[in-house]
Amino acid sequence: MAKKGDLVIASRLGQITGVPESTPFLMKFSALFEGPLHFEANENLWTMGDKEGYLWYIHFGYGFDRILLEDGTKMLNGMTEPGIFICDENSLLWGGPSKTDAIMYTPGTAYRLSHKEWKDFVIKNESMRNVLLHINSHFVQMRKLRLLKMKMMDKVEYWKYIQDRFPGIEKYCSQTEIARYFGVSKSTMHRIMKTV
Amino acid sequence: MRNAQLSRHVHTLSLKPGVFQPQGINIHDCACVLVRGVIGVKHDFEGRDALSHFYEEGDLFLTAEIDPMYNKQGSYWWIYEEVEMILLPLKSKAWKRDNPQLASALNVQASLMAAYTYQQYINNLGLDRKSHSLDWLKSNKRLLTLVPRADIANFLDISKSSLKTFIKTVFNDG
Repeated sequence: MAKKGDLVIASRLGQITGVPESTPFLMKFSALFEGPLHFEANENLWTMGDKEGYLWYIHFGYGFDRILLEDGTKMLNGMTEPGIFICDENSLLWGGPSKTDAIMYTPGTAYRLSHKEWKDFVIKNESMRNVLLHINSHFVQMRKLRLLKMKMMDKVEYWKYIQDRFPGIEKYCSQTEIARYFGVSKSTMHRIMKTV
Repeated sequence: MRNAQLSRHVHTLSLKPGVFQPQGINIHDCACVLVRGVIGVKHDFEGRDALSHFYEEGDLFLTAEIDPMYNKQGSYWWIYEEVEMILLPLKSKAWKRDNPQLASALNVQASLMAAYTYQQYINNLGLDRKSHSLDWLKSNKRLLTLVPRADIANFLDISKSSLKTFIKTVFNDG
């Protein structure tokens, strides 16, 4: 049974924000997380359609998350790595079942907090809310950059960059999922992969 | 939660076509509703302009994407058709004092929405270009009269010649 009260989250938020990890609101927030939860390779953190949504903190391990597009196909959405917080953003924002899934490709350890508990805490706690707003303001810029790279960057260069950042990606994600991530057809993706 | 009275807290703004310049209004951390007009959201990527999305009548959006404090991608709003918009400063002291609970909840929601908006446009780029472009053109014929073809092609991530072909298809289909 996973326990609560670990300060791993406070420590990570301290690194990200520069706020000392012993700051009471960070410790309080950290204590809400459930974990550590251990995962084997190929195990899902969550699956599409899950009704209970969680904010996950990845302590160890690597994986990917995929998103369900409106035409029913799946797109590689992002890479999971130690030190990041991930969740199904649609259900965090609007509620309802998840439209993404996340799978580990190595064994891993994670902590989690339900979307409801997360929202309750940040709405009531001004200091934590300010930390979140600050982090998210930077996150918006990263998202924009991801969109612009997808649209504007030379696809071969982008593929080299992704391969460097996530070695072995083609072993864990289908070519179609990767093609969607690059905003190209499967045959174009095949050509791009062959040129590198 | 009780109903909030917005009239004491919002600003209205009317602007002519061109680059969005609020002149005299602090747009830091505002939620906006477009009453009329069309805005395109443009960005600078290595010296080249990119258009990610449009706002039209009734759309709710946030100034966070063009806030100079964080704006690393040189994002700006380009007004294609004269706009009238309403702005609610989410961090104004008076707004927070009058509606403490709502102001907190709205701040959190707005912060999440600012990032998720871009996820939706990323998802659209994952769709088949032809069918997505045809669907979009069918639903947005009015924008073809306001927005240059080069901007629309960039928005849809297709070439200008593909756009020309798709426009013909859409109009021939009625």
